[in-house]
Amino acid sequence: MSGLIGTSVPRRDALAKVTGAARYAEDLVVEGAWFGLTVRSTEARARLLGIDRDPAFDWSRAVVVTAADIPGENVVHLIEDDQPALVADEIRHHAEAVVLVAAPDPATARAARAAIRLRTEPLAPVLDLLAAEAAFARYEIAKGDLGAGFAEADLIVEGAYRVGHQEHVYIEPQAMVAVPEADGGITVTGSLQCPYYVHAALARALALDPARVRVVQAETGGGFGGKEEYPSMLACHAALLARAAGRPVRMTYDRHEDIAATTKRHPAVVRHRTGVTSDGRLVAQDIEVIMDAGAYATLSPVVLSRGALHATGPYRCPNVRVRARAVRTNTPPNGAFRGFGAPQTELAAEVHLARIAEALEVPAAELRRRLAYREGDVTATGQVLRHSVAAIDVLERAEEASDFVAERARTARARESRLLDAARAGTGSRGLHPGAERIASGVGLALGWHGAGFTGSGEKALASRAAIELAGDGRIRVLTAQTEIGQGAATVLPQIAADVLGVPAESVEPAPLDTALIPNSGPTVASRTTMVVGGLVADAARDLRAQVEARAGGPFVDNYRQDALTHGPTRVDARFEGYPGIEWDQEHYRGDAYPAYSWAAAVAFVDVDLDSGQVAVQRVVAVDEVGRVVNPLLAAGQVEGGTLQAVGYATIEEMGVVDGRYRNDRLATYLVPTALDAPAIEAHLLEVPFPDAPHGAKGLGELPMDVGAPAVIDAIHDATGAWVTELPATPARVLAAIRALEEDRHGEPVDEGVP
Amino acid sequence: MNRLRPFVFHQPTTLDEAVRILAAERGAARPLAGGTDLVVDMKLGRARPPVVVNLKRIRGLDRIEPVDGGTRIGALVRIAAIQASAIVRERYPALWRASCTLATPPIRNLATIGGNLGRGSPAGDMAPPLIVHGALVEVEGPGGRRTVPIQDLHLGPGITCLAPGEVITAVVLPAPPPHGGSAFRKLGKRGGGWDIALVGAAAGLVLGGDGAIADARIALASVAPTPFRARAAEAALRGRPPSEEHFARAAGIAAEEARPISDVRASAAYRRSLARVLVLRTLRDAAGLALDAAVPR
Ligand SMILES: Cc1cc2nc3c(=O)[nH]c(=O)nc-3n(C[C@H](O)[C@H](O)[C@H](O)COP(=O)(O)OP(=O)(O)OC[C@H]3O[C@@H](n4cnc5c(N)ncnc54)[C@H](O)[C@@H]3O)c2cc1C
Repeated sequence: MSGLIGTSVPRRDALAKVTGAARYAEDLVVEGAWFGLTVRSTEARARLLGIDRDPAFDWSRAVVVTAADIPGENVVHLIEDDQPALVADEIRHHAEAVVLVAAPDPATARAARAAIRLRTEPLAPVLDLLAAEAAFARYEIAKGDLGAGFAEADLIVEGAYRVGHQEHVYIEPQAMVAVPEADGGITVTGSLQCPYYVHAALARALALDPARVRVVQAETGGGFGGKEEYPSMLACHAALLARAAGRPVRMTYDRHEDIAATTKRHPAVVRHRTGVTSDGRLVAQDIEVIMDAGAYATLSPVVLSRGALHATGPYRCPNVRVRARAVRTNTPPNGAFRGFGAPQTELAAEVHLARIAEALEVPAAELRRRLAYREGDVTATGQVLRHSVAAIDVLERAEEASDFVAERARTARARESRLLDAARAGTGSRGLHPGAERIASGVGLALGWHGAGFTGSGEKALASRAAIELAGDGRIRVLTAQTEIGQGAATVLPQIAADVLGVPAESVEPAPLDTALIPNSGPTVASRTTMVVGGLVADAARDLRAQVEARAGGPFVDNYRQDALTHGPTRVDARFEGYPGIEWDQEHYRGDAYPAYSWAAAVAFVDVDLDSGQVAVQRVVAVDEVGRVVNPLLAAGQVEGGTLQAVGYATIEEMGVVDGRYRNDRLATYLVPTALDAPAIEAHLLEVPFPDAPHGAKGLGELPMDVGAPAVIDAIHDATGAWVTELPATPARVLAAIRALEEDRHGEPVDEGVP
Repeated sequence: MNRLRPFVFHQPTTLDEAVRILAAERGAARPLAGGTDLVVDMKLGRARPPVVVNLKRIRGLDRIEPVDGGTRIGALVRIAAIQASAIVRERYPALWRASCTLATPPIRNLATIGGNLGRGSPAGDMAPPLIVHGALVEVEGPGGRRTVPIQDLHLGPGITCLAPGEVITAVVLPAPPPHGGSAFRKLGKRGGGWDIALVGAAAGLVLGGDGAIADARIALASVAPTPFRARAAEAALRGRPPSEEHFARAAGIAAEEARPISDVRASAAYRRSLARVLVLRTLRDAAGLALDAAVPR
């Protein structure tokens, strides 16, 4: 080991990105490429009766593709294969792709699109997740005896929590270029997270021998899960048009189309009923999780699974039932998004735990310390947490770093004096300080956990392969399917290899993301890249080093160039075999749900305008325990970015659905935090190495997303005394919660409509 | 990508020429100033003018200058220039405040006061302070020049009283009253305050020799089809001392008079709540300045 683990090796992609040299899909010059566009549904549900082409348009100037023109199966291959590449008979959601057109220039393509009419007959849509009956997936997790647990309880606390959609707002919208090859095959280059998902989808829809399908990742401007499933759809579209046109076709969404048509984070309703003893033990947790999958399954079954598995929060309880379902509605499909179902259920778990503490009249931090998992504890699926359990560590570090106890005392005093003032001023003026604004500050805490890698037997089933290659010219390359999407994969994987080989980080390169070159090391999702694939890379590097050193009889670093010249290239492949002792029973939802968990706590500081309900998040202290930290600077970047995304989710990111259509389908109306809205974020990384990974790393990418929002909601409660149980906590919702509380307190009616 | 549809583009260098072109097109032509509204609308297809007349080549419309004790602000004066103006900052605090929170610096560097009024948006930030300051709008058209009191400019959402061919050339603010104070505030969906207003409020107070409120003006954005003057609330303040109690009452009356709607940005009920909060706060701010001004020096 050359001691590279734990050093902030600079990002390999940084220079090209900041100088503008990086080539995104839209920057690629493809000789003779046509421009492809999509004709989309304008109804939430309808029967497609016909597709009419305006005879006034000269159709020799464009190509048109409908479902009837698909050579293979009309599916976007993923889990259920229920989603068509193009609607054949029933439109199931707004903005669904029905017809594709391509033309030599954008203006002609737009004219062709405008010359197509969809003849439809409306059908009754299902728009409300609570009214939806059909489900794509249902799970039940059971532990102990729920009835006995409730019988033992001194107190039962109930709560219902609701969250809306969240849009990824990756900086680069979806884009793809398809080039037909002379042998009848197809090469697709674009903005994507998971090259082999795209590869499988293309082979299926185009009925091609997989060997004739080539997928290349262009420089990709972010993903956050939003480029996990949708690029398969867009790649199929571009490829279908390219086949029809007999030439390359480029498809690039603008922001509006990207928001209107692509996946979002699942809206959800989570209900908790919890039995608690007066000495502060949880004796029964009955949890219901309902996620809105939208019109097609996409990844909803696995998103729901992760949501259900994290729904209890990281707390000891002998009797648990979690019932979860992902229902079908006539809204655009929801899919992968950083956290993958866990942010929804962990928000509910954390806010609910704080309400339990309130009911018990104990500080929530104290209750968390008492209940949080420690080594040897058993989760709801019966998993014994054997190693690297750091719930208490992150909790305590977050409290220290934020001076939580003292800050809470300060906000409590301020709350007291406000109440006194209000009493003195009488009810009429609602406690206005003469001449002063009522700005209340609050401090909130949340604790969370995140299973790293695929759920259950997922990693075993994937059987990922990664490779390292010492080329004949002495260059060393790491070959994986892990895409650089801004998170640092292209830096960290070579860094891990270089550490094992004992060479400088720059001496190892990532191979180009091209399915003609790279083995399938699985998708770049689920916080698995550094942990799982990083582990494979470390294994392969160890083997390569041993081979070269055996031949040379000396250290790798001094001998590999000569070895390459004399011996020729050496390639070592490593295949994932499973972590020791991990057993999962998918049928009964029992066993080891994840090989390891990462742990996080966040403390949020907010100012709430008590009269307008506006919330300003001023500061977040984020503590994340992720096993060995491979690259501290990149890791801190993940914590900061994930925390900001969580703050946006908690406060201003609101999509809204009207008649099955996204209401805020532009960045003018769908707000994300800007530099002006961003709190000061302090990232702290803790390390409790994962013993079963060669380099000790666990997952990180999604983790900060789980705790930011509940910390903000807890802080709003600390400031106002009111619980906001629906995300985002818009000013109107915060004000309504404050008003309801003041009404309670004064026993007087609210004197005006509360939204 | 949204693209502009083809249009005929004129770049007159005199006001007469601009008026002539605009009048000849009978409403089919739109004047262009900073373009921060018009170009966005054209890209989204909400506006499809076949003819666009750029006003920015016309000289003399971008000055802030004293007139008869008051101040004349040319229609092409950019919001950033209003923000930078010492005259505005000292004499017209409500307008100055509004110029500081209109959008972001890049937008303020392009956006003009004439465009803000010409747009006729009930959410625009310039109208409420101008109402409070008692501004007159100078208009030049085929029939010559006329002046319109600012509160008569707007007829409905996106509709002004300007006839085809008429352009705004300036707003004229009278001298600020002695012993007066004014203020502006807005709240948007973001905490930062630089967002389009969910509600914007301007208030002006003038104190009489007896210390009571001699005159009050309250104007609101985004709570009615046009910039809204809360006359009942104003009346409730006249003759009263500038006190928290009366401000709170007036704020409640203003919120009741307002006629907000629910839209993508906020519900009517929430807008009403905000109207009350903002009127109360601007009255306090304005009273603070008026009381300072009333202190003999
Ligand atoms: C990101 C963003 C944020 C914004 N935030 C705000 C905000 O916080 N507050 C706010 O009030 N506005 C906001 N706006 C709207 C806009 O910037 C302002 O209304 C601006 O003042 C318009 O001025 P302009 O010179 O750009 O007008 P233009 O776009 O050139 O014109 C606007 C309209 O007025 C007409 N017009 C222009 N000049 C004249 C004239 N002299 N006489 C008659 N009609 C004329 C045009 O024909 C057009 O209909 C925002 C816009 C954007 C894009």
